[in-house]
Amino acid sequence: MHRLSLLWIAVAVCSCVEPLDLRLPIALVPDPALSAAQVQVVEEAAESWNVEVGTRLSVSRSSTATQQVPILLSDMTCAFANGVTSLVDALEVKICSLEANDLKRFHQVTLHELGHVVNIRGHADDPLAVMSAQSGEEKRFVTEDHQLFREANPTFKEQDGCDIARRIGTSLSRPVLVQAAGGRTIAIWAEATRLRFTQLAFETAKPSGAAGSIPTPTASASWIRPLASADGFTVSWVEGSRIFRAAVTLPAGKVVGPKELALPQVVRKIDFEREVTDLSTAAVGQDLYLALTTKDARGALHLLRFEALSGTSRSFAPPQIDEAWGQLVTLGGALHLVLRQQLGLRVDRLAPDGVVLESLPLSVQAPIRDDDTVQAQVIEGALVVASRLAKDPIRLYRVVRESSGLRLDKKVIVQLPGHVGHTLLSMAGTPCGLGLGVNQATETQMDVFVTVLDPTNLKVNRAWKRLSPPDRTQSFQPWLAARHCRFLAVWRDLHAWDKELEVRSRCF
Amino acid sequence: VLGTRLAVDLGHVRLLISLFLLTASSVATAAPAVTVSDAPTSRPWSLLVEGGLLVPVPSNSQTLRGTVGLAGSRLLLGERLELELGLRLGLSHISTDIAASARAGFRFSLGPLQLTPGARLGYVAMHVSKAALGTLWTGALLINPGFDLSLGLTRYLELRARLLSVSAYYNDQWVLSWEPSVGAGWRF
Repeated sequence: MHRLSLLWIAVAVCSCVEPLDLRLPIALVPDPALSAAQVQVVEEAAESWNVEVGTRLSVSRSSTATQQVPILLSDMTCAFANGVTSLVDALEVKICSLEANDLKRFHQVTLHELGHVVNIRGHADDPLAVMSAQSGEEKRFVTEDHQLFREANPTFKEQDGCDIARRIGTSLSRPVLVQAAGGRTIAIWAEATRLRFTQLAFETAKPSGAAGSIPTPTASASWIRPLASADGFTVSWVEGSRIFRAAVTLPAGKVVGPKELALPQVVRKIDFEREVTDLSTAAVGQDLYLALTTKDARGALHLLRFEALSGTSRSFAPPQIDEAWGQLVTLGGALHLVLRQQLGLRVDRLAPDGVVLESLPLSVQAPIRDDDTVQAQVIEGALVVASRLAKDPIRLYRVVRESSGLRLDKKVIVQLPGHVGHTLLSMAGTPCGLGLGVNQATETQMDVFVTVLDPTNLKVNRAWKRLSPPDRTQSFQPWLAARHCRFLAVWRDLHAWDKELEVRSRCF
Repeated sequence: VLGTRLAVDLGHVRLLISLFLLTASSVATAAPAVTVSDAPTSRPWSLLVEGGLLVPVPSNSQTLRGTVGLAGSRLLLGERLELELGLRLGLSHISTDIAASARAGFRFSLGPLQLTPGARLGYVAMHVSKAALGTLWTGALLINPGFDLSLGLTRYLELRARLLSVSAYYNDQWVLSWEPSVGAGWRF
């Protein structure tokens, strides 16, 4: 018996490295054999983890960081796995050298192995998870990845709380944010038979405070449009070809409604799913206004006015403007319409019944094209209009309302780096800056980039920064909110069957 | 398979080692009849044919493998030393491998069973082919501590099984795999 013990104890002796301290930087040292493109893949995988969980992974061939992890290619690994993270004697990642021949696969394998670098010991059961040991599926971060990370690093706190991502539910349509009364930021999203809302902590992106749900009487909600109100927020949404509205008081979360809006017959015939390209709302006094842009044969802007509490229709003229689209905003308590027509872009100040009180031309532009985008937001008492035609730079206009009327205060052109796409998705502003969310569309994914502009002179004072994780094959439709120098975004994964709803908090 | 992690693997090895020690300890306590094998010394040679799996730990991939070997035994210091030379061919959807190894162990009797703890050393050459990615040859040293179970069926034929068998492969890195196998030996 003693002899047997000696035989086996010799094999059992092994030293394994301690888990890394994630509060400190971790330098990933790439194999010298890796090409620039392959090193970039490692960088993107590292950034994905940083954005996802707040780690401090970086790629450097000459780092002085005390924690360094070689990322090496290995022929032998190919015979057993796509990648191996070794904890024997020294922490190192070895990736099958054949995998490096395909950058997409190389990224997937690297992303997975970096999960082991950040101390995750096991694997996920969900085959779609980054930490799944199964191959053959597109991997993406799912809730189980976050659970594994938290279990592996129970005391870890995100780096300065600066890059945080959480999944708080699933949404059947584009989720939205509203900065409601009392400085509360509320996320609203659609489930099968209800809208759900929850207050989000800006710093941590955690659901906290007021939360509740609003029944959606006939179907799941789409085109969710929130507005801040004196005591909370109101929200309008589309169900089929019907539009409802509800009001929520905060912090109690008490819901009044939903109430169906009495749509005119011409609007009820619209196929919202296929024909509507934009829907904006504004509230002035007791009235709720809707601007509905459709892309039927010639395109049309429908302008609607309702008595907010009862939902009854009220007169508004003109009810429809052909070959135009636009957004409604409230500036200085008055209703304004940012209108894009063949002749150009302009801002109209409207009376409650729709009469144009004054009009301020912003630009004379080329004819409208399908891929034109415009966003209008009131930021720091001024109306900021962002417009983009096809792949041109973004044109920004800052409009202020003075006693003499509307005045174009600033007009700038924001150049976009080559890797940034051409669809202007969302905009949010704070005294720190104005954030623009644009996408980068490739064959397989749409990324979201954000920059920060000075809100007064509209100059870019932060580099474009990727807001979405770079590894996902999915589409984003972000809805931004901003406070100080931090942006909060909600979106859903359009490709995932469960339409996972993610909230991301990132500072600049 | 996206990856394996050796700390986990080593945890499994340690578990297996513990189980083995526990088993051996139990055998020593509960079965004092453990003796040097009384296998007929008139047939010291065995021709072995085995088949089994190679499963990297933790992993979902599997490699089928077959082994042919020649084993000889003799008494050494009062106990039966068994030496084996083997040639193994492995096959999976991405790789083929061929391994040459030598194994040494002491054979004990445990009732009708023969228990042979020992260790195998060898070298394995592996050819990997991944669709759309390419092919390559690589190799690794092979270390396989473990114990064989064998059950005599006739005077010439015995069944062999290796269940708690974990191999370590080394080529500038370690990879562990669980390698259960069953087979038969023809004694002569």
